[in-house]
Amino acid sequence: MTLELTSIHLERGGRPVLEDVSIELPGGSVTAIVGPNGAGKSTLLAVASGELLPSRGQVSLAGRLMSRWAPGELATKRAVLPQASTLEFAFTVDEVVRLGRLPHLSSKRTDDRIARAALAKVGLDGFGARSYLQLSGGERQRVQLARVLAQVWESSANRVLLLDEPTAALDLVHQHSTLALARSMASEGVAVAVVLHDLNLAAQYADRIALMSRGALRVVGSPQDVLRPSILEPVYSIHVDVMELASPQRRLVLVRNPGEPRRETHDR
Amino acid sequence: MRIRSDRRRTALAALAFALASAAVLALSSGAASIGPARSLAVVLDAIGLGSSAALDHERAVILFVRLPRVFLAVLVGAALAQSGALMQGLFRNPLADPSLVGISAGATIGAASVIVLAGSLPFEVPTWAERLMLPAAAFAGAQLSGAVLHRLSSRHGRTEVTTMLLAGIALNAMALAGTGALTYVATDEELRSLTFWGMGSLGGATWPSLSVVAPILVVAIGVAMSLSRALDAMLLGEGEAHHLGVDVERTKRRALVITSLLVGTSVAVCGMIGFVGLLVPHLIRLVFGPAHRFLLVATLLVGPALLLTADLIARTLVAPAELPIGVVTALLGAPFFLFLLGRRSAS
Repeated sequence: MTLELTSIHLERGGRPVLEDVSIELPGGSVTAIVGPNGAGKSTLLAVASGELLPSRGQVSLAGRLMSRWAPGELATKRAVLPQASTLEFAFTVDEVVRLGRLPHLSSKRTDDRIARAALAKVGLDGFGARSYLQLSGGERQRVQLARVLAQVWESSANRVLLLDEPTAALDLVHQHSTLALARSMASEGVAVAVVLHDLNLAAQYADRIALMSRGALRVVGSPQDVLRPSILEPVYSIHVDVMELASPQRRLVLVRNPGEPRRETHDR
Repeated sequence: MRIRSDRRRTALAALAFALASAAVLALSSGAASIGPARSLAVVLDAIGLGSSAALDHERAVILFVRLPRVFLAVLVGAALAQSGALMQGLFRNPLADPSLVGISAGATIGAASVIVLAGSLPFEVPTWAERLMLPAAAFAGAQLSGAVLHRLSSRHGRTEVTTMLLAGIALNAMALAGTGALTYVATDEELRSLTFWGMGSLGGATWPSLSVVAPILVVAIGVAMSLSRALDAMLLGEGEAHHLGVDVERTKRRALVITSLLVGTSVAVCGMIGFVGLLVPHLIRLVFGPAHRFLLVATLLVGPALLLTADLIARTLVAPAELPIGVVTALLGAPFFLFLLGRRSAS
């Protein structure tokens, strides 16, 4: 098991944000974390990355407790794509991607090569010399993705990629190319966890779906198991229709009656 | 107009040359007219290289008035410019400048308290202790206001710029009130000192005062250099830096302590000189980009060059009187700050 979270509890300001969450992220598979706003998805990702310490419970990578990893060594194995970035300085695209190489002791030539290859992977070939601040929101998000890819580029064991709503700022094509990229990383043995709002994207790209609500993990299973009206409706408080597509075999979730809008709360 | 990274070495050489020229110019200008070559010869003679035919009074002016002043300008220019770069990295915002957000103000209160209150201590303070007390109190004031500022404006690893600038206003106002209150209990002599502190001047440059501040500044600058990679990562955000293996808390602590040391020491020896920390890193980033490995080196050349030039203007514009150097840097820096604010709200 690559990344393992066991009985995670987390309190913030006296309020429980995560309650008894246990989940395993095996290498070679994509796990989609879904759920309503405020369910604790991003918080779970932050605990998984080692950024937040749980009040109770354990996180271990490759059987070793997170606290036993040296930060620099951990950073060569585990990369995180945040929801939104707030870079206010005019780095070139190339410089941003090369920041992903910070934990590595590789040569400048290697770093340059990896940065170029990572940019090509996210479809930003030839953007290297552009200023990051002059890019569109979607392009920035892809540059950040390239940075994260460059961080765990080398094919070592026990790599983990944690993506927090990577598709939020992206158009249709790039939503799919980003998740296809996550899939291809998984096929190289990387354990991928991705927070998503779109259940149909989750159905299409994830091996497993983890459904969260109110700080607890409701169910983890294959898209076939999780995407059922009986499971989704109580969590989202809406009526859904789930269609079964024959080829490629896949589930499609349609909202029947939006009903009352749920009260919006922030994810973090 | 970004300069390609392989040209950076050439650019550094050009900046170093500009700084050397400014230093020689500063050495040779002033009330007594001594040519650049003649001035340089005096300095070279003093360190045992070559000889000079300069007269004794010329020698005295160069070696005991102008040379310490040039050294002080170089050190303080480097310290202020670099403290600006560090603050901006720490707050992940290009508008953070020690004089704007109240770090210098904290240092000023510290220094002013020592000037006014040290005289009324019940025991005699030896001169060497008094020399150290001033930078120490200025450092403590800077560190305190820096910590308050950071606590207030940084939430969940993000900086709230409005809070940062507003907190800066409050800290500056408190410093103003504090020094204002101190003027009531100050003696005439202390009062002159206080006014001088508020506007800044390099006029206090002597070899003994340099021997106190130089080691502090050199060590602080050295430690600052070791933070460059971590600061680059911090610009992405604290969470991102953490994910890249950076010890964020340690980096923040060090950046704050070094900033306080640089600003506190500078304020202790030449008062409050504003905007250098805003202007210099901005100009460098504009041409060379924000990467700290280059930025922190380049500030050490551009900051001194700027301060030498400002000092030259300050002491020649209304000669034989002297403008406070803080007035000159504010005249250059404040409009630049307004320009930056305008560009910010436009985008």
